[in-house]
Amino acid sequence: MSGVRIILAVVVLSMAALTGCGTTSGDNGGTAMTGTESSDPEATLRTRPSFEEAQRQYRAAVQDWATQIASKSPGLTWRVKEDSWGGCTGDYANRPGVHTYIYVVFDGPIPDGVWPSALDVVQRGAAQLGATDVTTAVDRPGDHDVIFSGSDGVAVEFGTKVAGVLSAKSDCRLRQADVPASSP
Amino acid sequence: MTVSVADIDRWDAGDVREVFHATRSRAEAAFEASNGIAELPAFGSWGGEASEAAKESIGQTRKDLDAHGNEALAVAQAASQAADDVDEVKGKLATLRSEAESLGMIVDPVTNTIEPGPGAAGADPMEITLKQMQLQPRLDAILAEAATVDTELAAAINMATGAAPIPDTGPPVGPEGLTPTQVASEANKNRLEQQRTTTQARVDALQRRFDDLARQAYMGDTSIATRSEMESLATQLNDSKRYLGDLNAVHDALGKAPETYLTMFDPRTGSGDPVLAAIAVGNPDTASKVSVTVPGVGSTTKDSLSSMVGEANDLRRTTQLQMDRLGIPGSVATVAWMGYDTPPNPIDTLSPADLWTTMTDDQAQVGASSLSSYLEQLGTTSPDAEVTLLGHSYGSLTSSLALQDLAAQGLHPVDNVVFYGSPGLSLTDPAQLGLGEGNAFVMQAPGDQITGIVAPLAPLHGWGADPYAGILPELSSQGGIDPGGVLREGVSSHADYPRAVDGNLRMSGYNLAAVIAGLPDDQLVMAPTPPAVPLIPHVPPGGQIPIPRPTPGG
Repeated sequence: MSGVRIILAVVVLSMAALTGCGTTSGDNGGTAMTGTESSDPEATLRTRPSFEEAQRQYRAAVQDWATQIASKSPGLTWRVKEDSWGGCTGDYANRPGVHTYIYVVFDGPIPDGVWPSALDVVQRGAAQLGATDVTTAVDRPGDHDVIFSGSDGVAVEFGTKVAGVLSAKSDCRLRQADVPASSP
Repeated sequence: MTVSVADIDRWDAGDVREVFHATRSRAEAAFEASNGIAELPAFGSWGGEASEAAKESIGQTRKDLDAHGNEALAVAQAASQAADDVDEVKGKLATLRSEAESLGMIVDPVTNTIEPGPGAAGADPMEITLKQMQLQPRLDAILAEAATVDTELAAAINMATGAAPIPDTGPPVGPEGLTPTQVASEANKNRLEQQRTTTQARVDALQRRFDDLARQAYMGDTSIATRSEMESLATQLNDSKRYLGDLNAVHDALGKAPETYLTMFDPRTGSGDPVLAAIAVGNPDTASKVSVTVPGVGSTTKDSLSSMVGEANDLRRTTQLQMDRLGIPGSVATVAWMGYDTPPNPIDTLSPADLWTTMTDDQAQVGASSLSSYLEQLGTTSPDAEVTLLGHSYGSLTSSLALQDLAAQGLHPVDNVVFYGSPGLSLTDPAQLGLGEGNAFVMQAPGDQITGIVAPLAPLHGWGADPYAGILPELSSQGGIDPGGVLREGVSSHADYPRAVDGNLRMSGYNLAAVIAGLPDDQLVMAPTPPAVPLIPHVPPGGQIPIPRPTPGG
């Protein structure tokens, strides 16, 4: 058994050296840096609009989408179930940044008749937030769940079955209080 | 606003506790129109800021109740702290009075000064002055402390009436008051803060002494004693700073989500071992769905816990969204369990010993014992919750061993389990896990060589069957191409499963949430099952033939 383990250890060491493995935190998980981003995560955060600005933008966006979707189905209403924040993960896990999160729930399902146009509202809106990659988890009549995602944590999720649900999460931002005063 | 000795005499900690207990009990009737804080005028005779806040509160409706009729813990905590501090101030004043009396002096409640009492009749004026000089500073300190308490209490009243905002970090308190996890968490947080204060003081003291010696050495002290002490101090300082780093990491991780609980805290003081902790996002006592995530190789409290809490928060939200979408009632709590010493990542340490550790299950066995205890406790405090265990990498082995340990004792606190990025589970039959049929899953990614190369070798070195050879149903970690021809994101590496690209939850995150939410099978996205072809043909010892496995990464 020891011999096998030694061989296995060599195999693991070799392939781990090639791929990196282990923790669920820490450094970049293979994400490419954009041309405008620095290798210093905190410096990158300082170049972004504040958390408060993201909060205003995401609230307005999601509420606008929800209103548009509700208008397509008479009697359908929605409410904000969560409007909060969260710590960042990945490169920004041990930084002072936070993301904004807003989540609305409809009081019933989004009918299949309006689903394509509702999805279009969300897809176009998500693209404006930078969430253009699509993951379709469920796509059946009366039963849908789609995730749009972008760089550094931007994500929009939209689904329906018993009730319509719609959420949006921003990338990592600094709170205004944590943004250093700009030099004159 | 100043507080007088007479004010302190009128204070009654019981009033504080009673009033806030009464307002909390009324949370059930949160939406009744006449929900004023009628009892708060009990503070009216106190004087100070609390008195002013109480007078202004008369007739006001409680404004701190959310849609569930819950009250922010911040209010209860502030009131509880103020009540404790009232007791402390009154105790100190009573002690001072007693000592003053023994010296023939009294505490004048009107002038807030130490004056000669009946026992000082005929005493030398100089002696009286000396006694006043001795006692007055202590009285002044008590009055200053009382002013702080008064401000605390005013803040609690103002939060209760809505005159002051409740910090959004304040978790909710139900009508029944704090739950067992909330109580335990508060105790753990207090211990954490005490440890941080103590350790910071130790670091500061060691640093001062080291700096003094360094100055001596610079000035020409070349003695062996000085050099020896400096070497000893350097070691102690490094150890203390590392320990402080662990404690600070737990403190910081608690701030990574709005509602967090320190459900387990083992400071391991003086042992030299890393601090262990578990942090829940959401209250496991009141949640209907609870998950516990067990990390793998290279994960540490200092470097991993904050990210784990952030991922737990994402997972909680995704699970809640899926429950709402399918009309499943209830709420979610997700636990980041950093409750064992994972093997160090040999890639980081370049240590053959660490590499060897990852090849044995010694630390998984120790971790499984701790995890079993934690899950058993969770089953006690959350008896009605559906509990899902999520084991990543080496943590999947730890999780499997814990479940087998519990099952062997006839204990079944866990309902579902997902093993992802697993190198092996020390499992040959899913029945060993003690779960219902169809409640245990595996997940892997095509770019994960732990599952691609190491897992198939599990039968060769005593870690049971290859987890991905078909003994457990396999969830998809992949997006693939959607009907519109768009490439969906998928997990691509070993550390990617809970993280998603740049922090988003992708298909792996969806599936983890779907299992935690208890969604029906048709909502799970399973890995495709192409023709079974073993990736690595191998002949196991003892004639045990591993089950051929499908192509990974479905």
